[in-house]
Amino acid sequence: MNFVLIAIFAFLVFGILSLFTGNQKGIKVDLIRTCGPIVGSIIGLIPVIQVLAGKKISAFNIPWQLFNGSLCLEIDLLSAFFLLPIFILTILASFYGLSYLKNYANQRNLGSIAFFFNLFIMSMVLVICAKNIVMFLLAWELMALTSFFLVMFESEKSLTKWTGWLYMSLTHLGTACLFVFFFMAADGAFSSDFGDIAIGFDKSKTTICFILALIGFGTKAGMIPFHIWLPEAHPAAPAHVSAIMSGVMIKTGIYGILRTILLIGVPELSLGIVLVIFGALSGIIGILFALAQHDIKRLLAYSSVENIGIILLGVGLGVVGINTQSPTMGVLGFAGAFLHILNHAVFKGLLFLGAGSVIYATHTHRIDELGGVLKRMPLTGFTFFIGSISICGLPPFNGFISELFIYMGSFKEIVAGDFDNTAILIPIIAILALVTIGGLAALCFTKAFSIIFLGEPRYKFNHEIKESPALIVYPMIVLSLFCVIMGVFPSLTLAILEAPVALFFPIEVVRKTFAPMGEMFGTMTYVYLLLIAFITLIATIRSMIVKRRSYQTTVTWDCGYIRPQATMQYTASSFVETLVDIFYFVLRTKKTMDKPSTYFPLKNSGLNTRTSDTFAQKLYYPLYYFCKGHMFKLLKIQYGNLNLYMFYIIITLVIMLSVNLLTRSGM
Amino acid sequence: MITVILALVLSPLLLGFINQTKAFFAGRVGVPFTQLYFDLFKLFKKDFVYSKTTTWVFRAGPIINISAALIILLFLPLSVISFKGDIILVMYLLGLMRFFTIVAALDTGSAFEGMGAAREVLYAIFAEIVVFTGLIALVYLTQSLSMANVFGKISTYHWMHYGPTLGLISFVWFVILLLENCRIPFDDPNTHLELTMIHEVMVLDHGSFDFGLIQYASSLKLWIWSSMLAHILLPISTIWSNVVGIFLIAILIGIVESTMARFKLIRIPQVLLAIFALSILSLFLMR
Repeated sequence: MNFVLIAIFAFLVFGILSLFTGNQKGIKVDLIRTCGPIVGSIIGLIPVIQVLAGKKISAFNIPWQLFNGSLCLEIDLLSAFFLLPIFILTILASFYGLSYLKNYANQRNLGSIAFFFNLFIMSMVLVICAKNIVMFLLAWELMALTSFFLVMFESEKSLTKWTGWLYMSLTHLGTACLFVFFFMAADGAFSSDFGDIAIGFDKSKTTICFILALIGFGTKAGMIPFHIWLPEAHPAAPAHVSAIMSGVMIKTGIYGILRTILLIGVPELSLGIVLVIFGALSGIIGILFALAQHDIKRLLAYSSVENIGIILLGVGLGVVGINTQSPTMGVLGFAGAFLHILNHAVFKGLLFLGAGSVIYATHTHRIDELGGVLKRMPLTGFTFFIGSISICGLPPFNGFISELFIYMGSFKEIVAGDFDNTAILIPIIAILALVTIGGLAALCFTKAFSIIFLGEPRYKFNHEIKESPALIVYPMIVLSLFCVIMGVFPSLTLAILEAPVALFFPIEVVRKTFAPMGEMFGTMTYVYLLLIAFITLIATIRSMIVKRRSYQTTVTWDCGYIRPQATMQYTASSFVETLVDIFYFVLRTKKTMDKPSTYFPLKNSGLNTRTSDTFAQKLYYPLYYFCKGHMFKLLKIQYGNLNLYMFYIIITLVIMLSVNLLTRSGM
Repeated sequence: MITVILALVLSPLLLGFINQTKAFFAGRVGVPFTQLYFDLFKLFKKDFVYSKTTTWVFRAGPIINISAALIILLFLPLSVISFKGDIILVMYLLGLMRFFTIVAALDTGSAFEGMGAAREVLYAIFAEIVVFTGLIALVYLTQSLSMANVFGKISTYHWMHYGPTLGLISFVWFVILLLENCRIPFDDPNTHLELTMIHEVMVLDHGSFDFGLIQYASSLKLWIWSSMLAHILLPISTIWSNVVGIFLIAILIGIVESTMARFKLIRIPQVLLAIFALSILSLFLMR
């Protein structure tokens, strides 16, 4: 535990130190700013790896009245599993941020950015390690606040301000549910420590508690319909912060849901089905909105909603599996969810960093202004390509493996199941949802990759576009290596997954289910190596033939064009248009068209499509305006007189004290 | 192993069978059965011309396509490799092939190829859902998860007890086969108007060796889909009965192409949704 304390201390000290660096420049200042996250994370990785390897680490525990229990930090298996991607991604993102923020050195106070970044990482570590309600909620608030300040990076833009407040208010709506949940859960317990709650919990309240936790944690995770802050907030932050927010911060919501299951027991079957359905909906609707976006970071943010859906689907199958005594589906469901948590951190981190690299070089994040970037930024393009294939869940990369777990769990349940039993609907829903998500993701990411990196530049920039500096490129290369290794050698993942899944199922059951998966993964590695061998062989033959023949380059033929123009290319809007039309009932895409007016149109004509969040438009805004309209009545008691507000506080305290005294005296 | 060799050698002949059937219906003499072999031979001898716009993605497309197709051949029933769950791997390898075809098409920066790519990826979404619904039924009927068993184990017993389900699945599978292999009524490989096409329009800019690979890979793909369908339809699963089945399916494709017109592009998603409804129905009929 000492190592984690040192890590937390490192984040804190270097955070405060970097606050004093203000907007100075120089190597020393850079060192102070980036040292904290990197050193802290490396130190923090030591206990994480120890715990994952099976060693128990004693908790850090000081009894403290303020916390109604103790200040308790502990790395158990679940915490260790979630800390792993946090620390690894933080190290890579810090190197990246060092270079990425150079573009902003003259306009922003980078010292304060570093301060909030340090505190943000620290708060995530605290959330994951906290074993006391008060401690947990404090860390949860700190995480919301620090990420809020990072989202407000470009706070002079009015859109960013609005984004920040949206994030803040929705996060707090979620936190409100968590407050109620935790106090209900702690009601019969001896103290607010997690250990005591698990013992003293009244099982009759499981359902209501789990629903509250699902809303609270689901808001942070970006579960539909609580996701609307996510596509606004993630694009506003600097790229390396977006990578961490999307890659690991939203996973604290999943951590919360899993921790809740461990604390208050496994919820009933119907809630498992609810998880499956919300997972499927988040996945499909998330990716639908993603593919309709024209802003690369918004697209990636919506795709995070989709991936959270896949994770929830896995967790849902797990919960259903426990309830219906079908351990195979349960184990494979949890295993898929756990692996997807790691996988998504890797490829979404990679894609956000890649998007940042493109933005760094071109200063635009509109997909339709780009094109032909692959030739100018080969490494960014290549790594983004690997990330795109991985996130579509295509072999031989890592995304396929986590989806394969969920597929195998569902298919094995179908083999074992009976079509006379309605329970068979759940694996069918899971399979069909995953297939739909996979197909839509392929559309979304062929669009994202192709329109940005392939073809001809659609817009002439005044500056030359060239590959980003090494510190930006290397973290992406590392992450794409993770994609390849975890994909080609999937047997490695089984070792990491066994212990966390065993939190929910007996270890023998997990081992028994994993044994055939291990064999399968072993064969798959050979198949992949054979695939790579075929590719190498055919590529070699081709290059031998190329040497013997003449080799010309010319313009794109395209049925006989002599001078093809960049404007003739398909755009992001046109590539997805048919699908967006089909799903108009969800997406509500608005089209504005300037038709060419005469036979020889002089002014530019064009088509503009815009897809704003239907849930925000149809659900949240009407609700907000309704509340706002009725809140005017409250002006009578709240009209800006500070003395009066003090008076309210005193009255409230007096009432609370008297109620407390009365109940204590037994009246 | 013999299955793989047969596929490698005979698959270009399938197109010959389709074209001969069509010629028979039209009362023409038709191109020889072995036309595709000549075409491939000619293409492999040609020189290379590339668009300046293209990158390594364009050159990688055909190579990945043919390699993935070769891997899938190894998983066919009565072939080399088989493990539980390989159906998912095979379906996703088909997805990988498609991914590379699409990005290679978009690499040219051409409007036509963009159009074809957009259509291909859109129809694939529906096709994949239908295929997996069919797989759910087949997996349940055969109680297994490997290509070899899911397709190879369908027997007279299954046809006797689950006839309606298997009948529907065979029909659905045939429609998906037509779609995935760009046949009429979904796609028309013969028109001169690139606007009406899906797959052919995506490979407009490929030439010589690369185009040869693409042609060969698509004939292998046709072989793979037909082989799966032949295994469902014919309760006896031997290598030779399967080959006969595959060629019968090729003739069936020829008949369909001779007697149907191409669907309007806007109709295709509707047709696919109807097919999806049928595949769901096949699940109901299984009770």
